[in-house]
Amino acid sequence: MFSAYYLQIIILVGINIIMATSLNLITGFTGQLSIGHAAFMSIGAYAAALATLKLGLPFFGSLFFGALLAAFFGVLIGVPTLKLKGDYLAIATLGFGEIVRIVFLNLKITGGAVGLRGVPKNTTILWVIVAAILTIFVLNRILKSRVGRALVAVREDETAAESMGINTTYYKILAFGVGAFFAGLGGGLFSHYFQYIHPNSFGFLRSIEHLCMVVLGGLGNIWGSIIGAAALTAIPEFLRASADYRQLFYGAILVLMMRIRPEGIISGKKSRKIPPGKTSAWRGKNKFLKATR
Amino acid sequence: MSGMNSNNGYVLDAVQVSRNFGGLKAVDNVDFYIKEQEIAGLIGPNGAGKTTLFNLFTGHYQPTGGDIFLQDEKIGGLKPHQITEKGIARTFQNIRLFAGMSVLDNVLIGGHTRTKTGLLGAILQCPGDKKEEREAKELALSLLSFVGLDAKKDELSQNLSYGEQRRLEIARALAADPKLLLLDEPAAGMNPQETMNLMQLISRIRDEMQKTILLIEHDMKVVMGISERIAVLNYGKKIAEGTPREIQRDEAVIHAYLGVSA
Amino acid sequence: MFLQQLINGLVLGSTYALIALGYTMVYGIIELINFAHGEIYMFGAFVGMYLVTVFKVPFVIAFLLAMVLASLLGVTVEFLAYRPLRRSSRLAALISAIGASIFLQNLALLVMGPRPYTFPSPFTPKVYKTSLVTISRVEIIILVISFLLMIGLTFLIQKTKIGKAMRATAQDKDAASLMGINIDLVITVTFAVGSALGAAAGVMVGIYFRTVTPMMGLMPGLKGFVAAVLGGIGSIPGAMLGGLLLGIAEVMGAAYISSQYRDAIAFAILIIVLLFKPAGLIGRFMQEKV
Repeated sequence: MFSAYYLQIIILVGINIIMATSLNLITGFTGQLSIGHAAFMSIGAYAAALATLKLGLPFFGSLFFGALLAAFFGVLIGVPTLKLKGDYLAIATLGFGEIVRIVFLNLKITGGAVGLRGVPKNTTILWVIVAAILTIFVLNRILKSRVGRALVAVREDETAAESMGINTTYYKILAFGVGAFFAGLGGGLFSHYFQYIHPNSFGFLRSIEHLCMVVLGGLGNIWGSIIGAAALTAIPEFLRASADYRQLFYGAILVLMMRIRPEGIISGKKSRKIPPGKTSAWRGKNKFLKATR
Repeated sequence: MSGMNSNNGYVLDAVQVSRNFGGLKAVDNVDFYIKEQEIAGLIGPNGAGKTTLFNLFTGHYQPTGGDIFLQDEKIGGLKPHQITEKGIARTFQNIRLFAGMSVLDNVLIGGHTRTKTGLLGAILQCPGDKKEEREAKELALSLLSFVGLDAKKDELSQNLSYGEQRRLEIARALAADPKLLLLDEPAAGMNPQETMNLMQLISRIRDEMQKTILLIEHDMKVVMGISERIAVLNYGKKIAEGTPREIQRDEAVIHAYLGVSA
Repeated sequence: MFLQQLINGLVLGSTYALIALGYTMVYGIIELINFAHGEIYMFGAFVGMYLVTVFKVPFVIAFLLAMVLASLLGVTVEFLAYRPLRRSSRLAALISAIGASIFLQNLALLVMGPRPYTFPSPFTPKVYKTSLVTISRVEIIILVISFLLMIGLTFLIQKTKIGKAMRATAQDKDAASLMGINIDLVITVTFAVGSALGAAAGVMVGIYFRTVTPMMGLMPGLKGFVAAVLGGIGSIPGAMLGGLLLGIAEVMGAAYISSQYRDAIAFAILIIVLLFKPAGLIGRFMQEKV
């Protein structure tokens, strides 16, 4: 049906907004490149689905349970950041994502390679909108606070942040925990909308899709992520692009954006003045973010 | 244990501190103290171990020998953020501001250890958290006006001039309300006018804010002009200590600087 | 049984080692994880397969041509996706590398289609049996070629002028540049050599499993990187050792622990290494200067 098709796009846009903004907290604001965000989504998707199916939790409870479990794993993968920097961390998140996928492919309770069927269709457009707004609201509040400043300080210059009394390890883990929480929320909404989930829906390429949304909208820019998520979800749908072309397009976006507009599409003006709480990535002394070569 | 070494109101007391890098003794058995509300200087030729000693005080390096006390507390071996919390704040030789953040945010981050809003507080913004944020901002603004940067509070810190960036770094360190302020070559790269202003600023920090200050400085006019006591390092060892006047006349120091073998 | 698994592990591991060399060389020079390396490997396998099946080129020539063409692709990727970013942040370059990888993978998918292609073995299959182990002719060939390529690479790095320039550049780019070394040329050669080794691995895996697919680069690419990290990224002997150990660990893990978790083993090793010995088995760990 015509309207059902649009409804699905809007729901997907909403879920992807949650995914992109929460990834931006980790990668854009805290400066920790994560290419395993879909793994947290899958943990939330499976946990919420199973909470509904096996534990009989109400929808809200299942969503919360999924998000919380994802956050737990976010903290767990955040712990390696104790020692890892930059690209090593990126690879660790990738490895973590693959391990999660392989585990889901082999667990009995998740349906293994067959996937998990029969999740009730509880996700409505209202739920998605409320969840997306809640995510944006919470992330914005965090970013404008002492906690958000500490996160950005970690991105800008870890050594200086440490010297200012910021426990950089704690804040990196916190970023992973919060980011994973919302990714898990997105996953719960996903499984309760599509009613069927498969480990391969949350593979490496899904993580790349999230990263694309963040990069397109601008690292360290929440509103950019919203636009990036909406654009990359809706435009391919309207163009009726096949999945292959879509991925090709994602690859090209990543390369071209880095070359032409690494700050994202919407941070247009080169304003000298910036209001407190707003930041500009790509300029810090963070060895990984800084131009070094 | 600590009672044996810490006494007499020293803010910082380093007892036979050493740091080796492989075979190199970057800091070799150095004894060093700083008294309450003193401006102390640390000088020495390039590679003498000044910055290494600084980094030992701030926890960026762990000592391989000896102990460091902040007032009565042993701080050798703590992490940098723990040491800042205990009361040492620093600036960097090669300015390390948070370049992509506003001037005000830089100072607010300096106040990190003196505030405590956590994740929940940030999200819920309870009255206590709002009050804390308001007070932190007030303090940050007063520090910015103290260093003469209040008009630039909303600029990106990277857009400030060099001298302004140095002052912002000092304001950021002061926001941590340190017992001891460490300045790593604060006058480096400054023109004579900026250097003059900096010297006044450092004196004002001590006189008006009752802070204790240790600086590393290559500019002899600065270090002789404002320090009350100076320690000289060479090849990782402390070769002299005393008032600027004494240091200027010290044979070992002159030899170290002029490269004449004794 | 154990000895047999060891041999299987060595065969698999030698291909990982060849892939890992490409990663480690590039990382050593420009501190970038060349994500597109897995796709270079895939490209090499396709070129080899096409030359042998469609153009009926003798295997040895197909093998060499695959290495040459993959070198060209590697250099092109560097030129288009990495070189413009040399002055920007490492994060930007890494994202660009991920983009290049996804782009090439899906380009291959569009051009070749998702179905696997058969890579017929160019050698009459023969199996050598002893009382303890069985080893096929293809396996022997893979081991021998890998060994020769690694010796050749070591010679190139240690004994030639360009090898010396590569080592100097890896140590300190600025100093090397001041000494008159053409950094651009060194980077180009590094990508060319690394890509050629990756393509060699691709062709050999192609004849080993007798299939090539557009997606075949993804997993071995990641595992090659894991091998490089295991050995100590930036270290050439480390990549060789890491590749062999990873191959053995994977085969042993699949045989004695669980074959379903085969692919997870590499990533588990990765995370363990990163946590406990981030410098790898043979690597240096550097502390940032304050």
